[in-house]
Amino acid sequence: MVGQYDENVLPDMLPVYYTRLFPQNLFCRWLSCGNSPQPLSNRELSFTLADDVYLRYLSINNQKEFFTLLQKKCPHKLDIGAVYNTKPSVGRHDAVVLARELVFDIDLTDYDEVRTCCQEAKVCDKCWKFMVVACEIINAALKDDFGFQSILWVFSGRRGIHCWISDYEARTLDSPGRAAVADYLCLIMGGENQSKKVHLGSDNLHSSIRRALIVIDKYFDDIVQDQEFLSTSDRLKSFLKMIPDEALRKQVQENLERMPTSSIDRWKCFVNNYNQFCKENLHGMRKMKYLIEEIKIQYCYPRLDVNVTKGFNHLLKSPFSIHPKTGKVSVVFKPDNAKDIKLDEIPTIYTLLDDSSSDNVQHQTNMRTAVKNFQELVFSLEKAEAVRRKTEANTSLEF
Amino acid sequence: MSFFYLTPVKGDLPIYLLENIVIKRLDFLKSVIKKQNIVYNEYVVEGSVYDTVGHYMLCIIVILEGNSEFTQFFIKAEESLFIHRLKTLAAYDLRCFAKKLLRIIRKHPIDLNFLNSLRSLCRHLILKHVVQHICSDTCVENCSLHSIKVYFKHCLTFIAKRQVEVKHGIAYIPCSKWKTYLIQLFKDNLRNRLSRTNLDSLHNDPRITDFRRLVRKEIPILNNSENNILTSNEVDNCSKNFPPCMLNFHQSLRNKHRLSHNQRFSYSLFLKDIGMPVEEAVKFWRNEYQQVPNGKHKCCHSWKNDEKKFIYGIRHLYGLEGGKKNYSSVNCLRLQGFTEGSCPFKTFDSEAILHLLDIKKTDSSWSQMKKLQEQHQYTCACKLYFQKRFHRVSNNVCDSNFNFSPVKYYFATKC
Repeated sequence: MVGQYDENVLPDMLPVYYTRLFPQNLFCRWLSCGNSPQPLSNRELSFTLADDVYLRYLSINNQKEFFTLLQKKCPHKLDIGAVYNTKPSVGRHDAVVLARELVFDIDLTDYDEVRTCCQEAKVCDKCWKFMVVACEIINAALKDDFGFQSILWVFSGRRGIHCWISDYEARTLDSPGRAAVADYLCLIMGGENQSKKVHLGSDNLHSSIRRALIVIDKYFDDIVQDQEFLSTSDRLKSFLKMIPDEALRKQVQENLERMPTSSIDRWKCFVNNYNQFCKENLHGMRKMKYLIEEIKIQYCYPRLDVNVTKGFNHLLKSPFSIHPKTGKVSVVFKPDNAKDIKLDEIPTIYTLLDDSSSDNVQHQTNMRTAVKNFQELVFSLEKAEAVRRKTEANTSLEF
Repeated sequence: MSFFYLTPVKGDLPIYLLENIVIKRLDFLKSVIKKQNIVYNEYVVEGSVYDTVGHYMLCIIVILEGNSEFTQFFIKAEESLFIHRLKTLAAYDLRCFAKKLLRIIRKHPIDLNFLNSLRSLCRHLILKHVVQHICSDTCVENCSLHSIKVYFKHCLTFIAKRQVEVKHGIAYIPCSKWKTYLIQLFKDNLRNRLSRTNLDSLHNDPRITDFRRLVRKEIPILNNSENNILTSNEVDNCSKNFPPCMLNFHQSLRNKHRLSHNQRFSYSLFLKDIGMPVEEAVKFWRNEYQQVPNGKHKCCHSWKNDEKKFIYGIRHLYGLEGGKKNYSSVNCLRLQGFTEGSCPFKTFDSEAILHLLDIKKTDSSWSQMKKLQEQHQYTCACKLYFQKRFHRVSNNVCDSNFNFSPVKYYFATKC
């Protein structure tokens, strides 16, 4: 278990991890594809060594150099940056970014205002469900709406998930393009001074929103039971603030306060109340046509850190790096399997290298699966890149 | 020539005539922006030589001046003019417009990534039954009788607001949105020209230098320079004159000793542009970030541990480190676009905003402000508050709501 070890053993364990377990070959191939047509050496990497020493503008020419660099520096954190028009150490401030994977970062601390089981750095299998919902919704949008295919999902190491899209169209997307994709996926707007953060209007809902609601509905009852959004007077107050109509709000408050504290029962009562209110007030309903949907979305829809997506000079944590505070491996997982992930089954550097640990066998199996997932993605990315280069070569020969 | 301005005209003109064309166009654009009645002006007859020459000449001046506010004014004015002209086109005229564009595209090699989308749209618009439908009442708000397929990268504005359906990277733009799309393409084309044209050879041309001097006389903001130094201990006092957004940031900072990234970024740039020098900025932020954060905050940084990073960050914003980029402060539109919400008129609940502005519900201007909020006119609501509080109206020719900014609000309180 994590509690038995501390960060001080990391300098001893990391070299072994990097040599034996970190999928160096796949990593270099993945980055090379992402760099194409630029060479691997134009990709910026950054290391954070022990004592927070930060090294930027690093780059590697091939896997052998990567291995040597890892052995020499033994980074506690490994981050990946953009592809430049020159070796990053040469250009520095004048270098121009040519490409970078489209990335998404979802962190559970952004859900602190809705999750009741944990706050801040804490995370559990209950609030992990929010990540499952986020992953399924965003994955579907990226695949079906934007046609992206090389979508890599990575556990961030503690309390979130990252998504890396390596398709050529995504890598070469400029800043306005990234902003547009981020805004497309963003439904929750507003800071701490706003109680109601989702407004869907009264026109027909966009198909991506309808699809997201279908995903949310798959998990909504479970999440309500886990989080008990309506069980205490404070939580009920926050919930009521999301109802724009005063008359309805008063009704709901009276009805729910009378009931026992089960959130799922209170929710069902609210839905009935709302439907009844709609029938009785046909003309006033334009403002609240999608109230139920808006509330579901505010509780469960993905909360992206849009700054990470919009910028392309951000250095983001690499897949399969070790999180210094938890020791967990940033494993690659498949969106379909997100719901089966249990947080304590995620391999850690300690359990992987300690044969006597009770989790050793299971964690090693999960690590192998994660590497296999990564391998599948790299293979299909290489194939897609080969096809693309061939098509480009053919078109340039046409007169 | 088309008033879409896809390609310039070639030829010679005497300078006095060129000057006349440019000045008259500038006057015309000012009246367009102020939404005054559009009076006939021989220099801006759509598709005429003078019209095209005037447009491209102003583009040159805008590019060479490099003043972001003047550039924004120009883009907005030309866009408004285009919208006005498009509105007055009947079906037959719209068809001619599309035919002319297709002819231009066929004859000239134009480097534009969305050219295919423009061509596709025009090909539809030259069909009689299609263009008649577009210009008729049957093409209602959500009509999708006809639609064109556009690569998602060529209609980002629609994508960002989820206004079109997208499948596998292809957006389907329905006929009811074609005019809006045409306007967006016009704007993109103009922006593209203003940011990509290399005019190095004109910098030293004496005729151009004279021209620029002439135009500067007509546009006051090109001559502006405010020179007031703001020190870190004056901020509390000056905050009384801050716009609500910045006042909110300031109060948040004083209460919690931390701000989110976007908030800190926007507030830092605001302070820089109202005259806070970099040494004072370091003092100001150190004073707050040295203190323990108050209340729930994800921020794990402290001045003690991360002093070097903080100072580097502040200096970077002032263009003194790294890429030495010249950051300009955020304007209202950009603030309103932040996901976490920074414009109080847009994202605060009523009680929160009444508290921030220190006005009562019974106040007469409050109901007006609320109405503007409901109409999504957040900048107007802010200006109304400004008017009421300071008893004056901000008066600048380039100043309309689209380019209002916290810095402008603050300087207006000083006049």
